[in-house]
Amino acid sequence: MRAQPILGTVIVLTVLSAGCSRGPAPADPGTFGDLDPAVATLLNELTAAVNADRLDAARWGRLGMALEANGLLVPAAANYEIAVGLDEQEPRWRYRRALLRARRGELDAALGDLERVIALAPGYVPARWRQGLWLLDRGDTAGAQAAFQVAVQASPRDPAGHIGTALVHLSKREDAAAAAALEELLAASPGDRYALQLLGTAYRRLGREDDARYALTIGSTGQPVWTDPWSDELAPYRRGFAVMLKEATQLGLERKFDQAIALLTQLVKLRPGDKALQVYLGGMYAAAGRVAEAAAILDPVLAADPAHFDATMHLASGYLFTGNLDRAATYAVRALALRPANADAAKLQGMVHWQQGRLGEAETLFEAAAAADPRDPMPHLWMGMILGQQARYLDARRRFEMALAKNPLLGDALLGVADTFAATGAFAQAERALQRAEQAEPANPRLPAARERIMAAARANR
Amino acid sequence: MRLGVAILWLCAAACSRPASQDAGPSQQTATPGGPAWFQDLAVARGITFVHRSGHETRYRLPEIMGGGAAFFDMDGDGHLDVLLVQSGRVSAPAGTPAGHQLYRNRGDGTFEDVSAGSGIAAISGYGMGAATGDYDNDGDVDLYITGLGANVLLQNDGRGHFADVTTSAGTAGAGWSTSAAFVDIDADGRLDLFVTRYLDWRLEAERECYSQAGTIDYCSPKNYDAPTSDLLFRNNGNGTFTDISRAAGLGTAVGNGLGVIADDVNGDGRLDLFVANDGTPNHLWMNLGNARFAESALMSGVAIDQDGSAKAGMGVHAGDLDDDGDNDLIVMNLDTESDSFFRNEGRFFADATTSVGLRVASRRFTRFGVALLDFDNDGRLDLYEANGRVGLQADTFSADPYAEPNLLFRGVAGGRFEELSPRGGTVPPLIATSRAAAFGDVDNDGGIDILVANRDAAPHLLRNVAPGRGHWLLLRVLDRSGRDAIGATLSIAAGARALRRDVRTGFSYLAANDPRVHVGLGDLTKVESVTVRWLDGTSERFGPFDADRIVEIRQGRR
Repeated sequence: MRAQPILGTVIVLTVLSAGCSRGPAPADPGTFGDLDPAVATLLNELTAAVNADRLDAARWGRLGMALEANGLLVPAAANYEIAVGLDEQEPRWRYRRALLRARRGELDAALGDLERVIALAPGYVPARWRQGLWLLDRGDTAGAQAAFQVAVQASPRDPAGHIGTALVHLSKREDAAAAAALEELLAASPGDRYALQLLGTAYRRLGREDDARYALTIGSTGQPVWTDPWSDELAPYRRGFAVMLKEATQLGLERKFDQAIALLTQLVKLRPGDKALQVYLGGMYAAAGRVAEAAAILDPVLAADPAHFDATMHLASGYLFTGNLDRAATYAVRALALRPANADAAKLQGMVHWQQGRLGEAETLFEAAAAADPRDPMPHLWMGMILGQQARYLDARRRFEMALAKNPLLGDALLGVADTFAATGAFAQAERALQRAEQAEPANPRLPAARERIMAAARANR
Repeated sequence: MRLGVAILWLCAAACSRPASQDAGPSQQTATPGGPAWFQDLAVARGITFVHRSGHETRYRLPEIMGGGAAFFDMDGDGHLDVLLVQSGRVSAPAGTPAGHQLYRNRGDGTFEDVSAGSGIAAISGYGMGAATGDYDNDGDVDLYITGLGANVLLQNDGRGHFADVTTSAGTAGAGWSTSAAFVDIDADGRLDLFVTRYLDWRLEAERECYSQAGTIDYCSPKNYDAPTSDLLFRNNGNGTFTDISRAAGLGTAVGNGLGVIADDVNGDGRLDLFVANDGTPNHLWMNLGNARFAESALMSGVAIDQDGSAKAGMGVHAGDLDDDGDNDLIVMNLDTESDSFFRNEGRFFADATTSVGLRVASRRFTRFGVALLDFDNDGRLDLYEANGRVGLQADTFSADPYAEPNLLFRGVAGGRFEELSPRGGTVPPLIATSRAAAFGDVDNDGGIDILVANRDAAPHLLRNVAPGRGHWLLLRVLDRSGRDAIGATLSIAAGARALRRDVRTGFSYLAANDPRVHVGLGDLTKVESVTVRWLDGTSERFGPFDADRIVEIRQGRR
C-alpha cells in the first residue's frame, strides 16, 4: 500500500531534478519589444541554443553578448549573471558583467568583478587599465596608479597604461610628471592625439603656452582609443539595419567604395521605399567615381524633387571628379542656389570654377565657404594654392598658415608654406616647413615632388 | 581633394546617437532613502500647461529638444510668475499661435493662467527658450522667446502685458535659436542680448536616422554636420538693438549651441560668455572690451574635458563651489558622458569632474536643465539635473521611451557632491523627458523651488520642502536705474566664510531664472556684509543683514 506514494515521490523528484538540470529558461526575445528582424533572428537562434543545453555557460554568455551588442543591456546582464554562476572560472562573462555594472554606476560591484577577472586572467591588460580608470573615477588615485603601472609593465607598447598614468598625475596636479609620461608615450606613438591633448593640458598648467596651443589644437581632434579585444568580440553580434548603415559609412570613409556600395545595395533591397537610403547609395556611387550609376539613382530623385540638395550635391561632385566640368557646374550652381550659405556647396562650386580656370570666382567661393564654416581648413588651403598659382606668395602663405591654425598637421598646407618660402628665396625656412610636413604627414604622396622641386629651386638659386 | 567634398555629407547620414549605456528599468527607483526635498505641485497650484512637441509620424529634430521655462516677476509684486514656452508644430502655417502660457503668481501659492490678453498667447513660431531682463531700463522685466526662425522680444508694460517689439528692436535673428541671456557686455548700463543657435536646420532637409533597433528615431546633431554661429545684439539705448555678431567676432567659430552663461571668468571686470555645444567643442568667448570677443575655450580648458572628445553639451551653470572667489562651470552632457565640471584656476579651468564626485553618478542619464544652488540652505551648493533621453533605447523607464528620472546631489564637505535619495528629491521619483529647468523662490520662503519643463507632458513645479533647511538671505540687487543688476558680483561675509554669488537670470537650458541672489546660511543668523562689485567697476558694501529675509540693495543707496 505504501509503494504507490513512494513511487510518486520518486517520479516527482526525478522530474524536478531533470528540470533543475535544464536550468532556468532564457527570456523569450519576443518580449523585448520592437526588434530589427536581423537582431530578432540572431537572438532566436542563440536562445534556441541555450534551450538546447541550459547548463552551458558559454551559450548563455554568447546570448548575453548578442543582447549587449544590440542594446538590450538588462537581459544581457541577466544572462551574464547565469553564465558566471555556471562557470566561475571563465573570466569573460564576469568581465562583461563588470562593464554593465559600471555603466549602471555600480562601481563597487564592477570593481569586485574585475578583481576576480584579474585573478582568473592576470595577463589580460584591459582589465588592469579599466580597473585603473574606475578607481580613478572613484577618486582612488593610488589604486588607479598601481593598476595602470601593472598595465604598463604587462604591455609597455599599449598606450592605455601610459595614458592612465598621465591621468593620475594630472588629477594629482603632478603636471611635470604627467608631461614626462606623455612625452615618453608620444615618442613611441607620435600619432596619439588623445595623449597630445592631455599633454597640452599639462603644458598649459606648466605655463608652456605655445607648446600647449600646438598640442591642444591637434589633440582636440582625436578620439581616445582604448584597445579591448574581449569587447571587440561583441562586433560580430551587432546586427540590423542601423549597424549595416554605419558599417557602410565607415567603409566609405575608408574609401572602400565597392564594399560600401554592396552593403548599401542590400539595405535598399530591404527598404525599397526609403528615398534617403537611395540617395545615400547614389552618393556612394558618385564618391566611387561611378557617376553613371549614381545618375541612374539620383536623376529620378531629382525629377521628382528638383530641390533635393543631397542628390544635387552628389551629382555635382560625381561629375566633378570624373572631369565632366560642364555638368558638374550645372549641379553645383543648383546646389548653391538651394542653400546659399552652405559651406560644402560653396566649396564644390569653387572647386568646379578652379578646375575651369576661373580662379577669381573660385577664390570668392572658397572665401564664402571659409566664412560659413570657420572650422574647415580646406578653403584656406585651396585659396593658398590658387594664390600660389598666381605667384602671390605672401598672400598664399598667409592662407596656408590660416589653414594650419585650424589643423597644424595639414601636410599640404605645410608644403604650401615650404613652396612659398622657396619661391621667395627663403630656402632655410622652406626646408624647415618641409621637415614639418614630413613629420606631420609622412605618407603624403606630394612630399617627394615637393622636396625635389624645392631642392632644384635652391640649386638654381646658387 | 576627391574625398574631401563628396563624402562629407554622405557620411553624416549614418551617424547616430550612441547606444544606451544604462540599464534602465533596474534603476527606475532610487535607493530608499531620506525624505523628499521637493514636492510637485504644478497642477495643485493651477499650472495646467502641457507641452506639445508636435511629433506625429516623422522625427524632426526640434521636436526632441523641448520647450523653455521662466521664473520672473512680471508685475513687480515681489512674487515670481511663470512662463512656459510651447513648441507647437514644426510645420505649422505661419502665424499659428504656438500656445505659450503665462501664469501669474497670486502670492498665496497658487497661479492663474493670464496668457489671454497678455500678448503671450498670440505669439507664433516653434518655441524653444526664454530669457528675461529689463532691456529698456523702465523697471519691469521684459521677455525674449527663442525658436525656429524668428525670435520674439516682448516689452513689458509693468503690469504683465507684453508688446511684440521684435521688428522695431531688430532682435528677430534667424535660424534655430535655443538658450539666450540678457547681459551687459559693455557695461554701459543697458542689457545686450546673447543668443545661442543650435544648427543650420530646415524642415525640407530633415534626415532619417535610426535607433539601434533599426527603427526611425531622432538624429544626432552630428548627422547634419551643420553647426552655426551665435548671435549678439547690442542695445542702442533707444529701444533698438544692433546685430554685432560678426563685428564682435562670433563668426569665427561655429558650434551646436544649446546653453549659455555669462560670467567674468578671468576677473577683469568684463562679462565673458560660455556656450555649451552639443557634439562640438564648447566655446568660451572672452570679452576683450569694445564689444569684441575672442574664442578661447581650447586654451582655457573648457572646449572638451579630460575624456578627450567633444561631448554633448546642453545646460550650463556656474558657481563658486570651492569658495575661492571665482566661479567654476558645470556642463550637462549625454548619457555615457559624465557631467563636465571645470574648476576655475585663474588662468585656466581644470577638469575636476572626478574630484567633485560626478564622474560616475552623472553619466547614466541625458541631462539638460541644471543649477548649482543651495537647496537646503546649509551654505553649500547643491546640484539639480533635469534629464531625458534624445534617442530610443531598448530599456525604458516608462511608457514615454525618452523619459528618465532627474538627479539631485547634495553638496558635502570638501567641495564634493553626493547623489541624494530619493532620486531627484521627490517621492516617488518623477519620470519624464525633462528639458528646461528654471530656478527661483516662488513662495518667498527662502527655499529655491524648481520649474521643470517636460517634453510632451505637464511641467513639474517642485516646491522646496527640504527638511531642516538652514537660515537664508535672498538679495534683490538693483543698479542705479532700478533694474536687476545682472552681472554684478557679490562677496558675502557670513561667519567665517566668504561666499561668492552673482546676479544672473540666464543659465540652465532654455530657461530664465529668479534674478535674486539666494544665500544659504546654515546655522548662521546674520550676514555681516555684502560687497557688490557693479558692472561699472565700482564696489559698495552693504549690511549687516539678519537672516531669513528678503533684502533689496541698490547701487548708490547704502
